[in-house]
Amino acid sequence: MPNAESTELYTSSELSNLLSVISALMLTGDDEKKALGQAFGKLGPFISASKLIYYERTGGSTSDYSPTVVWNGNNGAPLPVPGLPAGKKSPWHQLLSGGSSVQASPLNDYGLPASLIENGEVLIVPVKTIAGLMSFICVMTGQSEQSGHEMTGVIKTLLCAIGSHLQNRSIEAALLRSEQRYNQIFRNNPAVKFLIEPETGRIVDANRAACQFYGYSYTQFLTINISDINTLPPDDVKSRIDEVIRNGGSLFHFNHRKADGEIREVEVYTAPVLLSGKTLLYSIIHDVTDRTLAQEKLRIGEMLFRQFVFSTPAAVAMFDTDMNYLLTSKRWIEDFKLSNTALQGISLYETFPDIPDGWKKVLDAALAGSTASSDEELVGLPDGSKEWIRWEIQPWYRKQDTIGGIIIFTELITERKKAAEAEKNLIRQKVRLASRLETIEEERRKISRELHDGLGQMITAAVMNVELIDNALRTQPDKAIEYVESVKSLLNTTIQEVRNISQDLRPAILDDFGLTPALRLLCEDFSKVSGIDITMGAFDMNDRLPSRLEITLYRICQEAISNIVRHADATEAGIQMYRRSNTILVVIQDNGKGFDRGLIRTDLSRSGSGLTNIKERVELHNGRLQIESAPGQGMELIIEIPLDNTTETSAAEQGLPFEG
Amino acid sequence: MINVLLADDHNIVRYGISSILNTSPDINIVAEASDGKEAVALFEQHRPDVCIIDISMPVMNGLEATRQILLTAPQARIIIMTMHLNEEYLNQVLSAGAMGYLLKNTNKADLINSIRRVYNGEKVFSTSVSELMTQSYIRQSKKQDSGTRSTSRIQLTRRENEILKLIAEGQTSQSIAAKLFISPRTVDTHRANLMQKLHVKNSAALVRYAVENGYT
Repeated sequence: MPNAESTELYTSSELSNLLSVISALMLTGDDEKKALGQAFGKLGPFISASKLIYYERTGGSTSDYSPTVVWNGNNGAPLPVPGLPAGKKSPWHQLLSGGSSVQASPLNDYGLPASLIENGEVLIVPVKTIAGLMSFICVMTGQSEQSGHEMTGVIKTLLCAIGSHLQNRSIEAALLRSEQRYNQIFRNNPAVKFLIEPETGRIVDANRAACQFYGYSYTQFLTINISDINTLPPDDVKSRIDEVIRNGGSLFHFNHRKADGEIREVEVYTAPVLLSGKTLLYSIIHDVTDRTLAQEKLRIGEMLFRQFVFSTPAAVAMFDTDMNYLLTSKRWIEDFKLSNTALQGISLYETFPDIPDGWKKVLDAALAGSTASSDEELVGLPDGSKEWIRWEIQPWYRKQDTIGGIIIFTELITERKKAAEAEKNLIRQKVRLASRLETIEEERRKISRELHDGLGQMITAAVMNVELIDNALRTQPDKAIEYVESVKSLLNTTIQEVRNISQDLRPAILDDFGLTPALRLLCEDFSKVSGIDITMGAFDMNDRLPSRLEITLYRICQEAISNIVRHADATEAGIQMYRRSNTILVVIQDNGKGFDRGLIRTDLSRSGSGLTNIKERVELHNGRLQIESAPGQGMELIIEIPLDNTTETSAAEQGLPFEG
Repeated sequence: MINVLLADDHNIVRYGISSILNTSPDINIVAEASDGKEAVALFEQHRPDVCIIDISMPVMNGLEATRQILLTAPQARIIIMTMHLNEEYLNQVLSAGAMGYLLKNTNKADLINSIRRVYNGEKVFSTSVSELMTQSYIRQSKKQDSGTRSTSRIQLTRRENEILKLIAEGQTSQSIAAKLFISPRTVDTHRANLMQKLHVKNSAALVRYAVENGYT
């Protein structure tokens, strides 16, 4: 057994060297156990009876300790390693809750079995490892050690050094980690950040991005105040700061001044943070100037677009895929007489509740990608009126070539159509007029010829006879009487001829007695001439009609019967007239060869067609003409003329020459 | 002395007629009118025995004047003079109550004679007018013999007969139209005509008429 004065005691310098070596070992190695083992080994023979168990913390709970025998003395025999006893009263527990000093106490206090060591001491050093967990170095020294207490002292020192090295290392590591985190989160973060002292507004830290953004160096930053940056007056800035301190993190929209004076619009998120016991304001700044500009541009652009669509001089509307309105032009609302309620988001089908199915199909097809259009179509408007429209429907596309909806363009063409119709009518009227004038001229020619050839001749002959009378009176009185007779006869014939011509021009019976007798006479005359049995019937026709109407009806019947006689190959014909409360109905029928009704629909404007004349006369009086016929089945003309004042004026209004 | 009122709108005609009549000692022209209204007024004033009235006159025609004169003086003797020669005129003149129908080409003797005869209460007609009346009568009786129509029964046209038959069978306008190859509107028109002709108010009555008259 070595004695207290043994030179095998380490000198203090040797101890220091040893400590340094050990420190170096501790600092370089990662494996604390290994380092411990190596360090302890250096103590050599002095610790031959000691044992070192390293209780390494392995897990989150306070019972997660894994013991390793680092030094088993020179013995080498396997050592049963006791686990850490549990229990709040145990000294272990004290250590666990934060004790950091090296404890030296009788083994019993730690509940370790006596068999482990004889009357020794146990040293326990808590160590915070690099991982930040509390592990324990447990050294049990035996009495058989040389200079028991001194060695204990040495070991204690050693352990302290080891412990504090380990501690430092872990603190350093934590610090390093913290430093790294700090750099990542703050220093080197690409977002503009700084820390503000809330009481003064002074900037206490700013990251690299902030320096770049604002144009201040780091040191400069630490000299300025947030009021130097925020364009709001300092009082407002202060009140904002107070607000944040009170309420927690807030998002602000400010204007910030850069070092060069440029003002930028920024979004600022500021929150209070506790750093090293002090409340600071942690601000993240986001430059939204460009974003704001872009938004503004977009807004203006959209406004322009909306305005353009609204005031475009055409009726257009834009819909989404559910056929809800997105945009319309003013004209759309006007043309379709939609009420002024906002259309945004309303479905097309709500504004046009009676859309026919054909339209729905077209709309669906457009949503599927096809375009459609029509030059003219009659459409019912929501207010019940009908209009002619020209329309075109097209899908519109979003950026990715997906269909976003449809655009409908329409144009009201009712006016245009009416004008076209009116023009057509005008042309038709002109043609009719021309043909009528032709007819008139022909009649005049005929009359002129009859007068000249017929009457002219006879009167000339009569005059000649009168001259003969003149001569004969002197010489041959009997002859004179003869001449007188022949003159009388000539004159009578002339009178009859005049009557005929006059009758043709205007049947006196019509003026004198009215329509019914005139028609009866007409039928009689035609019957005699043609051999066709033509009957006439008038019902409730006791009162006379306006003379314009009478002559029209007379001419119509005259024309109709004349046609029948000329073309129909009939044996029977008839005129039936019925007076109703406010119309006159005339039915003219025959049992002749009839004609194909389809031919009637073709253009009747060629002159010479008797039906045309009839149709015109009927129309002049706002009447209605119905023709029933089939080949071999004869023909029936049904004419309906309203009885009211307008019939008198219609022809005059139309400015057409009303020839009788 | 026969007092005569002369009414004609042409001076020259009146002149001619009065010249002729003046050659007769027993005829005296008491008044001349140039329109129907004047004629009625002058008749009131002069109460002539015989009137010679032209049909075609302005303001009021001769026929109307005749009717009006006869209203106040049913015994008035009126001869109508006209250029027109046809049955219709004749019917109208006679229905109005005139006693004579002379054409204007009547010769002097006939004219004077006619006045005297009418004064005595006879009806007078120009020869050609009489011929016309005879022809007409013959034609009428021919028609009656052939039995194509009876004057007592209301005459329906062929089409009207067809449609009445189908109505009596209870067919609708649509089916009648389809059957006869005409439009339903035409069918309805004929239906209304039938009701008017037969003086009935509804289709049920039409059916009844049809049944009663053997259309079913």
